[in-house]
Amino acid sequence: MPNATVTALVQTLATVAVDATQIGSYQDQTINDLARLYIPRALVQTGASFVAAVKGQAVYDLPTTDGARTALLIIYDETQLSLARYDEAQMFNQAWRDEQSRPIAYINDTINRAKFAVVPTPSLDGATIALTPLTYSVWPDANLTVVYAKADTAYAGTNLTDTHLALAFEVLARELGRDSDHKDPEASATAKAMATVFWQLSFPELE
Amino acid sequence: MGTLAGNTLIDELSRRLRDTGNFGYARGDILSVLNVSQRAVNARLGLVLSSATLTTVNTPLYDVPSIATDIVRVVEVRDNDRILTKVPYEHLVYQDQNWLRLYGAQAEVFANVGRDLLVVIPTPVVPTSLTVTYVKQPTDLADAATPLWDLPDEHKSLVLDLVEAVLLFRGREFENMQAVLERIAPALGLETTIQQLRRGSDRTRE
Repeated sequence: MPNATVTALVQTLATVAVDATQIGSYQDQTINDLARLYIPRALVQTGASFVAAVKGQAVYDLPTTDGARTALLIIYDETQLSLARYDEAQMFNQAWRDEQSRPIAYINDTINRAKFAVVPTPSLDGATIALTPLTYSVWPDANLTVVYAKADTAYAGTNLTDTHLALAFEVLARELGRDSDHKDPEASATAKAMATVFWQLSFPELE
Repeated sequence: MGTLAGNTLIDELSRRLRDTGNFGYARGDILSVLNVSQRAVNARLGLVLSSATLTTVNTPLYDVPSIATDIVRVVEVRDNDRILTKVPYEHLVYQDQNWLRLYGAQAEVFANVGRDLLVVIPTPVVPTSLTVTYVKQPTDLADAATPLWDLPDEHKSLVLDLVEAVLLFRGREFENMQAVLERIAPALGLETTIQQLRRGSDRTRE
């Protein structure tokens, strides 16, 4: 469900009759792009979840049901894993998928960005998981904790209201750039530049 | 707390846009852009601060909206008079590779992870009350004499310039918009971005 305030800002700035459905779709797309870190200097919505570790299992899913799109930090039990490349895993051990030990690194899946693999594979099944990394009462040993950038397309957080113009300009850049009766390439490029300005205003610590 | 009201700022903006009758730029539209722009300027410059109390629990990860709903970013965490060290979240691993389950007598370091997560390590063995100081989302203005805005009055022209630039985009007056942005770029530290915007505009005219 698109954020109504952002939609209203888009319509205010557009001055032409824009397609409301397309606006909502572009808003969702931009929020997903934010979570995939495609928009530089903007890390907005974040979260953390446990992922159950399985003995001998290399590949795991990002907790996409919680909105996760990009892993920022992955921790096995209590130890943060290093981000490695596929060739580094191969240099470590060509049969790393078969080796069972305590994971020391993770690699992002080269095809499915919603998956990652730990290197080497866990030698234990993780304990039963209850609650979340923010609310747990008993630590679930030998599991994975994933801190991630997430995409909540409602974008309803009151701590995000300063980013509404940035989001509106991103949406407007796409809407004015597509083929339509109100296509305006110059306005589209300028809207994209204004979005960059407003992202920088909201996230000075990421410069 | 400043002394300026929304109706006064809207009147001044309408004069700048040569639309004192608000035929082209409705007062409601100006108000909505004004409110978001003041929040953006405040996020950049950290003009409006507030504080909240965070009582540590048995985890280093905290949901920021649960601390306060108007937090833009946490700028300081204090344990009584002792200020914790702020680090980027990518540097937590350099504090200790096992930071997620690190316990200690007192918290030493904090990190923001986006807008929604705050990390405080090591986790104090005994729950501790920390004072979190943060950049606060300013109060929305209305087209009326109250509420007064939260920003310092000396930043009025900066905010109005930014609003003017946004509204000039609406009128597709890109050259005038460019001139306004170049005027405010030094105060906001955006010189490089504004140069890129100008070069992009030049290219589209070629």
